[in-house]
Amino acid sequence: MLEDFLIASQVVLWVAVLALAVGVFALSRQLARLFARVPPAGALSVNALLQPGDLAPRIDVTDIWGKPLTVGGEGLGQRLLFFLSLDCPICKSLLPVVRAVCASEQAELLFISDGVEIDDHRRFVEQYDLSLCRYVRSEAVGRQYAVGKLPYAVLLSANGVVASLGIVNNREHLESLFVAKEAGVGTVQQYVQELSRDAQ
Amino acid sequence: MATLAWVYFYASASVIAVILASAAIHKMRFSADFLAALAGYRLMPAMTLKFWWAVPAVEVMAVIELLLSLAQSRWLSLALFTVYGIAISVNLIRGRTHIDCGCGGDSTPIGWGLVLRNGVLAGLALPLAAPVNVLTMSSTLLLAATTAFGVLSYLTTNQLFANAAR
Repeated sequence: MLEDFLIASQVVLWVAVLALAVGVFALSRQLARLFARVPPAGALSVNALLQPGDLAPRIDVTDIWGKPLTVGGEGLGQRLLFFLSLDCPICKSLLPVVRAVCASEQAELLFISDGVEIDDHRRFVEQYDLSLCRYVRSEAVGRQYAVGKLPYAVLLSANGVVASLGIVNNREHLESLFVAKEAGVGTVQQYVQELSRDAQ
Repeated sequence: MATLAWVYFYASASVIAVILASAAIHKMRFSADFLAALAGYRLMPAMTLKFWWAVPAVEVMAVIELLLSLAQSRWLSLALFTVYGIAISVNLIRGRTHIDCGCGGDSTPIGWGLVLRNGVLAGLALPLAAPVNVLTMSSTLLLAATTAFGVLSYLTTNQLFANAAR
């Protein structure tokens, strides 16, 4: 009697194991399709002047401490220009992220802002502990790089070319700029376009 | 093998009963959805669509048949699953693959997978000789677990079909 029960139980369990295996396999297939459909998140590149691949405009400026500095141009190493404003809360919340990403990607970080009194910028640098980075107050840079919305970031490669650029609202957007440079795809729009072309 | 036969006999009937009962409840609660699906099949003249309630009514009768006969008579269930399978097949052959199956739950377009599913359900509804009675505590637990597994597998299958169409 017990043996009979065990046989029945064993059969039922084997059927269940096989059915579950099929179910898990089907689920994994659907998961893979789901991944393919989730669109990539990246910095939205809105720029009327510059395209990835263009030579970055070379501008001589002085930073907020009065030291001369060149934005753009060759032989400066990989650089990230981070455009911010003192009255932009997202910019402030991004500061630690920008520093961490630049440190891990070995890019020199350059803060670019404009407006208000230079003392306000100096206080800002001290408050957020940015004294190790270069900080420029210049409207010309923002204009020549056609920055319309903040926070905005432009990644310059070592040979002075714009590698990628876009509006950055979070870490994912910021990292996408470096990924774009490595992948050789300039903008997230271009990437999505290529994806949909591959899918057809 | 007496226990296995006994478990299969009652578990298959229980799974069918649960599926049909929930299908009937679903059709009556969301009658507009069911009516739309029924019209989509294009198998009944438009004027007969007002008798849509006959479908859940037959499902309820099939459940009653299973309960009253203690699972020994399953003809109505077998007929229902077969008719549903044929209805889906006819529309697939017609090329009307976009219509909603009306299975309840998330909307699911019809496909051969659903025909296969109905074939399995019809297989469960095939009439069987009543088994030797092996009612014990452990066999009852095994029966309950098997029934739960069957119903959950049915739900999983339906959800997978619904997801696949998205």
